[in-house]
Amino acid sequence: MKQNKDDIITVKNLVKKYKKSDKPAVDDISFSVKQGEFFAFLGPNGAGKTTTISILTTTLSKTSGEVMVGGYDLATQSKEVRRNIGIIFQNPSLDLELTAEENIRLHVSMYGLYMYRPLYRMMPAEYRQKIEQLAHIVGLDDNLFKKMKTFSGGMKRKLEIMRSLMHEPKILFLDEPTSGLDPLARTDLWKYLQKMRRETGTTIFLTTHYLDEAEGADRVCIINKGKIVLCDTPAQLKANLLERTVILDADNRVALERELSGHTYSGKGPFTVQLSEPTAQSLIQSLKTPLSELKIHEPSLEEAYIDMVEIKEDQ
Amino acid sequence: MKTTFARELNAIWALAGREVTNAIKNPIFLIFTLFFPVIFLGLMGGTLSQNLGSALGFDLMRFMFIGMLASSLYQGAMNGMISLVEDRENDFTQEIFVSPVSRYSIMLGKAVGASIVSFVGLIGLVAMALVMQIHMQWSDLWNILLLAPILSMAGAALGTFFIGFVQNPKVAGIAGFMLIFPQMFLSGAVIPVQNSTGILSFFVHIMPMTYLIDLSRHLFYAGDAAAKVLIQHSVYVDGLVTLGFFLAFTIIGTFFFARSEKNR
Repeated sequence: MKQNKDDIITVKNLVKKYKKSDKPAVDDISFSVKQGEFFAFLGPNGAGKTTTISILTTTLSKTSGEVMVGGYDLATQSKEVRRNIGIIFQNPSLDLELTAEENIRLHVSMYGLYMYRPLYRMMPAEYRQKIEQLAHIVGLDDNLFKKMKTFSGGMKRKLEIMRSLMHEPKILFLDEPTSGLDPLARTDLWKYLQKMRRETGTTIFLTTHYLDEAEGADRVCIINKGKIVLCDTPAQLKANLLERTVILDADNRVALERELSGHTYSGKGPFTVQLSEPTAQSLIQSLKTPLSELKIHEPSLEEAYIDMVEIKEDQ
Repeated sequence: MKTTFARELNAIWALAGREVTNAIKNPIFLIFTLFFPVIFLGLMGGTLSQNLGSALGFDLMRFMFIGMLASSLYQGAMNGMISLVEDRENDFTQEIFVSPVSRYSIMLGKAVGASIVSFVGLIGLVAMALVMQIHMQWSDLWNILLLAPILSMAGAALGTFFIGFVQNPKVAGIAGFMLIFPQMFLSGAVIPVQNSTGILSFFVHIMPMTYLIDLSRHLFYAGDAAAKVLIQHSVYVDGLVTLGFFLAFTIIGTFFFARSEKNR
């Protein structure tokens, strides 16, 4: 399969059917991700997100279809694919008996970046500088030589991100990276990820349950029951799926309702008025009745997503 | 690292290093590994020697020491390899198997590490041999060094084969025990088996450890009159069967374990 030069991931007619299942977990999906893009892959539980990411990261075999990752064919060049990607799995994949630094030392040795040495002080100065620099960025400076067992969920995630960046991957796959983290740890982690992305230009492939995390994505693909339902920018998805509305109310509801007669609205007060123009300015200007409530409702990606999933459930 | 070979070698070395680091950090494991052969050789060997030794016509304690030495390396490496099931349960294998390294290098790295760790048992065994004044020669030290890599790699190969088919940690714990215990008694490690007949003789001949124990006895009893009584096969048969088991177990086990990782 030929890959478009702007694309870093190309998936064509991908199918994965598990042995004991009647229906495919991933059912003939096709999509592409551009170089440097922040790509979010959304879907309800069991939609096929983790199955897809597992295939793309070579940890799961596909049933059929063609996949190119970083310019390499997944079927024949899986080792090259693995060399060019970083992965944060849904469940932490750290050796809890080792220290944070020992986990990273094992990783860099497995990727052939540095010759393995049994002690940290025996490792090259370049490695020691790099690890200390990254530990400082993620705020793990004081914990590098502590056992993983003493780490909180957030610290483990940070270490995994730090570890996955050691070999400077072209694509970073994040499979629900913040699940189980408290809000502070989530925000903290995303700050770091965005900073890293700005500095390195790494392509990010994200699957998440937290829709607000996908708001900042360049493009979002929604998968449901193994099929891709929609692929677009978050703004376009919201625009296509949901309407922007203005919520209005007044002490004199009869007068206000009379004035809204030329608009599409619902309710008996407060009134939800659909916005057909880019701003609510002209609507407000046209009203003479003194308002007791005025709210402009911007739909979130989460609402668009729920709306889309509900529509598909009904079909 | 410039060449693929150097990268693969480095990964093997790193994985072996991880095994050793983990063992050093686990004092309970170290104590158990050190004292298991001590208990076996000291208590079982001592009792057997005092009550049956004189009737056998050969030095039972030396016989048991060699058998324990071989089986402790073999078992240690096998158990180390089986711990990969635990790594799988803790999701750590995901990190290992997603690295750009050959599956065989990963398994080999784990096997080398498990083999090095299994050497810990030797310290307790040799110490016990000295305490119990078991007849030893300087050449035994050379024999141990020569045999240790073969014995532990063979044990690791059996462990690889085992985890190719058993990936449940609870099942692995019980089944691993079932795999090693019959071999202890049917391979000639602690009890002579050359006069076994019928179904027991069949089992003796299909046990991979039988040939390793026999191979060990070839070295330790070289030039000794007891060799005629205690050795069952020629060194070539022992070597070839051991090599055959090693290759078959490693290839089949690695294939099925790697496949199970891709089909979780």
